[in-house]
Amino acid sequence: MNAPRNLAFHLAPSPGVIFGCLLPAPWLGMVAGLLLALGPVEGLPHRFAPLSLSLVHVLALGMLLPVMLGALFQLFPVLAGVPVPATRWLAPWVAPCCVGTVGGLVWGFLGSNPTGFILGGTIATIGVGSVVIALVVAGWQVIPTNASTRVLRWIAWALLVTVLLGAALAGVLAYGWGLPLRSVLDLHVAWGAGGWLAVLLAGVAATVLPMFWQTPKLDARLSRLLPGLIWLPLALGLLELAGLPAPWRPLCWLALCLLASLLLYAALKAKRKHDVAWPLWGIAALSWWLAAVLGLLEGMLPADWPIAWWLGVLILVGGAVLPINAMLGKIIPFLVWLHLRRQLPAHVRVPAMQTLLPPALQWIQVMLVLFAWLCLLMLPIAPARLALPAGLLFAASQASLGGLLLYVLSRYLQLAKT
Amino acid sequence: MSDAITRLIYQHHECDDLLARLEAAVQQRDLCTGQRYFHEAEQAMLAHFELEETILFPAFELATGLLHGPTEVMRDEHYAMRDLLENCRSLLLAEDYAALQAELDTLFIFIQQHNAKEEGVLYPMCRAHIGDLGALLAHTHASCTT
Repeated sequence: MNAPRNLAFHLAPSPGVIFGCLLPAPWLGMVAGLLLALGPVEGLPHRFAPLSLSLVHVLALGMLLPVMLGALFQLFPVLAGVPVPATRWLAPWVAPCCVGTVGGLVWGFLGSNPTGFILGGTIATIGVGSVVIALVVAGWQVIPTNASTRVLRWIAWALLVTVLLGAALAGVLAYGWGLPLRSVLDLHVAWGAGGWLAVLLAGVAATVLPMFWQTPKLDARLSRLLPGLIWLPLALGLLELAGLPAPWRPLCWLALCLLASLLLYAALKAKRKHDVAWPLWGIAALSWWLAAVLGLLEGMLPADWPIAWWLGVLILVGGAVLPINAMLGKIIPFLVWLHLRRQLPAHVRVPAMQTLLPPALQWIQVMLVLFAWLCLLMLPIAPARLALPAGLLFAASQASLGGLLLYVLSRYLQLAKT
Repeated sequence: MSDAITRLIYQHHECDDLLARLEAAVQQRDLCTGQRYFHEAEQAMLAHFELEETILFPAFELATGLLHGPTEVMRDEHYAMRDLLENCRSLLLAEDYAALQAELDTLFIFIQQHNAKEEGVLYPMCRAHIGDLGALLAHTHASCTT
């Protein structure tokens, strides 16, 4: 039978469970901004500067990972009819585990302290690892019918590989494990940014872009390319750990370039460009495309160009923070609206989503985060001078999103009481 | 996906298109065009709901025995969309464009998540469980258009 077994709406997690994963995200983004503004700028914009490494992990693990896991807890039952096992028990630990992991790693990077890596690696392996196992189990039951469900079926494996490679790196840094550091590092970054982040975003975008912004739907034949398009070159890369070199890096960039081109095409063809969050998707698609082109051309560009910094900003801020900001601005008001509809008496009119989160306020947040993205890209011109304004701008953009979402929740509590 | 299901999905796209045109007209404060697209969108949506509620859902419930499962959720969401359409109609008559735009945004997003569930989960289940789905819906389509 080629159909899901049940919609399982009754097994979908409560909004409170999902909010616990989503709402801390902007505040962790604010922490990343403050860290850049106030942290030690020595070595910036080099990728191995302690501050660069700390920022990458605060953004990727502290801000983005809880949101993506929270989204998966919701997407599995709603899109695939399969609830994630033990969601009720696991979800409340997602944000604390991610924050704990980040805390350990930042302590390790900024303080050059191996204990930090041991702490971060242990929390990630146990905490995030438990969620990954639950997602693998849920994924196994998903019957793939489109790009999104195909990604849901397999995505946990990419996170598993990323976590294992990250734990191996922590082992190298803390205990001096005899592993090929460069290969493990490159594969950890590639599986995290490409195998996990890009594939999950592409899978989610295949559903939410046509839904919220009325973009053309991904062609069924192209949708079958996910996740293999990105994963095959990445799997080839794993051979490097066994001492078998393979040209996986350019193949990965090529695959990413194709995916980014599709995303860019979809964003440009959106019928609801008037929506306040649409520019975030447009710039996100452009960021992925620029990152892929930069990655492909890296060997031909001058060695002193800050390619790694640009790649980090384009992928993590442009490619991930922007669409996640766009999604948070839609999903939280929508979940609140749904909850109000269930709670309020039938004769009471539920306020429109735009009443809960006014577009004029959201527009200010969108402009702030786009300006921060631009400042972060320009940071290598004068790192010591631009770190403070770029960091503060990014912190302000995320704090304003966090504030807006708290405003939505306060409106909910106020209305639910009436 | 069977032709019958493809036709249902096509109806979703038709409604989306009409709503997008309606939103554009409202943004331009074009009352005449807005009223025309609202009327077309409302007719198309209500006809689609009726087809599902009177033919498709009962056939699914009969075939699976699931009376309080997905179809109950879909029916409830249809009621919510009818309410939102009613609100939009009042706001259109009052020419309250800002409030109408906000209400249309909510309606649009609500419809999209509803359609995603139908197209991704319920319709494939219908296709798997209802033996004569094509004939059932073809007959209805014929009677709807006459």
